[in-house]
Amino acid sequence: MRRLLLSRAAQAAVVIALVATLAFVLIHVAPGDPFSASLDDPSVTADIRATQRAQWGYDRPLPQQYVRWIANLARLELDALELGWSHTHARPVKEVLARRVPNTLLLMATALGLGLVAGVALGTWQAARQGSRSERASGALALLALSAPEFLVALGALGLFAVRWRLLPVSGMVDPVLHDGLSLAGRAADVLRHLLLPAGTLALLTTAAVSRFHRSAMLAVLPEEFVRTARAKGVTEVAVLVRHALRNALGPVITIAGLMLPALFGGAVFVEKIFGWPGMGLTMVNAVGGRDYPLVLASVLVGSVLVALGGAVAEVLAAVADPRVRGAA
Amino acid sequence: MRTSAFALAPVGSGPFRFVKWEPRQRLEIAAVESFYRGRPVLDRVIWSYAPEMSTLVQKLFAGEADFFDMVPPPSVPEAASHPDVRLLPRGNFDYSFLQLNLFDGPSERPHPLFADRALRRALAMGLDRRALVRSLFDTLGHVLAGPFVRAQWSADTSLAQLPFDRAAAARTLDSLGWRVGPDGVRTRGGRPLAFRLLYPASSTNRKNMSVLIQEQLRGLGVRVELDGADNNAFVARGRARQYDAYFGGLIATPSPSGIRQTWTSDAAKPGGFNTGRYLNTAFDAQVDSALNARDVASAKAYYRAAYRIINEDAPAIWLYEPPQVAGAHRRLRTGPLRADAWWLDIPAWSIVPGTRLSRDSAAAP
Repeated sequence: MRRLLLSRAAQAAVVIALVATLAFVLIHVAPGDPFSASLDDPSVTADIRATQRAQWGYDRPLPQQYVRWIANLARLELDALELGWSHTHARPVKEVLARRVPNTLLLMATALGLGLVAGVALGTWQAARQGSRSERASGALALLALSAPEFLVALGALGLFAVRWRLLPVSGMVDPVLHDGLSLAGRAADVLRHLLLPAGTLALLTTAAVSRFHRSAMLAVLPEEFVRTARAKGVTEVAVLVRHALRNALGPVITIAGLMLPALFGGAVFVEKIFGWPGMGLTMVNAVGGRDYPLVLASVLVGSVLVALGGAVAEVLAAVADPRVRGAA
Repeated sequence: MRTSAFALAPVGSGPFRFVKWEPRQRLEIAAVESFYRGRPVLDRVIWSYAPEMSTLVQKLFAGEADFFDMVPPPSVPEAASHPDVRLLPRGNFDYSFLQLNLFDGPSERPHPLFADRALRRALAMGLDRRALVRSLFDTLGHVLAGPFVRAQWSADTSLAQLPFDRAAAARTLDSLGWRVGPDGVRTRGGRPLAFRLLYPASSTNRKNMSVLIQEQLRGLGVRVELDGADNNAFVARGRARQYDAYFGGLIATPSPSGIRQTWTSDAAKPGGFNTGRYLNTAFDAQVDSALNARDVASAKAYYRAAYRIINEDAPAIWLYEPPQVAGAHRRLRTGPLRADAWWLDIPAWSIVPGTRLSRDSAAAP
């Protein structure tokens, strides 16, 4: 297990370094810079923009800018870690990330958690009722959810739950008027109310994907001899499914969950935009649009680390669930 | 200045004090009890941000927000029929135009098409600007009458315009030697009458109007190739003068003197806003005279003369002033909204008695 972890950590470090370098080059060769966004304003003259560029070092050759960026990153003490200044947020990048990353983690963890639990439950249920009318109907619904563009699902949920029935708030992460005056429990409930729609939308899509994979995995496991033996011993059907078949069928689901992390990170952009959730996806898109170089690069770094971590966790969990994987590693 | 601690937590002497700013989330101000002209009626005002226009409108419709300063045109009919919302049209300083590059890209060579004043005028006359604006904004938009907006004191909407007259435009092009070919596109000496129109792909209004312009000019025998670019690329290429026609948008200054930075020869220098390089000393002289005039009446006369010259020269086709319509919940009492600062009268805004919600009583931190 230790060797597995070390090998995955080394691979992840190389991938993160490559992704960050590629992001650095691509964002700098894209047209525009952090100060070109203000060009519709006649009061910002070319001289002012040139001064601003020089002040931030964006007029220097690209390799020199890259070396400076790496040198700043290489200060390994976390307190001294220099990620730069966010031009679009008018704050240090560290501060922006400190606010946004937890929001994304909350959204992703909730969506992934709900989606995995519901998807595994649905997949197990479908496998147990293979061929029945209800299994076919639920399979068709899952396929429909999987095929529907996520922004459509999000807009539909918003229209129904927030605008028509007014059960949940339209957007944001907290009530901007009341939140600060609430008790701790009240604040948590406030965040939960705001979380339900975006997390529910993402969870619905995750559920659909996971259920299809898990159903197939369960169908492959159920005819196995150890399941037949359990049934022959008089173990109840629920126990057969949950205690014997489920664990053996979890491998693909864990792998898929790890692979879904990048998709969820990117897919969350639409959901964050529609529900106004102040997370990393939207921050990154806005930063790219505003050519906020420091924030784009820091976001890419954080995103790569999260995705690498997600992959590593998925591998470890798969190894825990299935000793054959451990052996192979 | 933007990066200073003061800019992040400003202190002023107005009717409200700064409470909190979370970039791209919210901005909060609270009433100053001891303000010398009397305490504002509202206790707190909170700007709430959402990245999606449709979401912002839904906040207003759902009663989560009391005021939205910019209801997008497609949502105006729904807002107008919403029982809790009233619409408040307001002036603004934005305007959009089709800038024609008078030179061949960034070079010093005259543009093969747009250096010709008569051709530029023919193109302007070949466009039914009223229909374009109506198609895009219904009755909410206004056709631009020159390089100025109606909210500026120098505005003169009675100014003579190049009329929409497709037959006259076609005759002019014929007389210039641009003859309609078998494919419907005019040519002269083997060169088709075709140009590329650069627009920002992120702007739905400009994208849609580009398509309409392409269609209208096609009827005149002019081929327009649409060239949508991401906003940064659009701006960079505009700045570098790498375009034939550029779908520009500007925010005019409340004072008409801003025209010096946008359309005079001074503004045609590298880095200036006059990227199409319209150069006319008579126009420059009128603008200078307007800027140095000692009274409003003479300044207005000089501006009028300047506008007339630039309209006659047609270095750009003036398209529209986008509509600005605010939406307010009926429980909110507002005054008239100023074009240059709709928020200026907020201290006098109030909630209609008997319509207060529980959230109105939440105290400022």
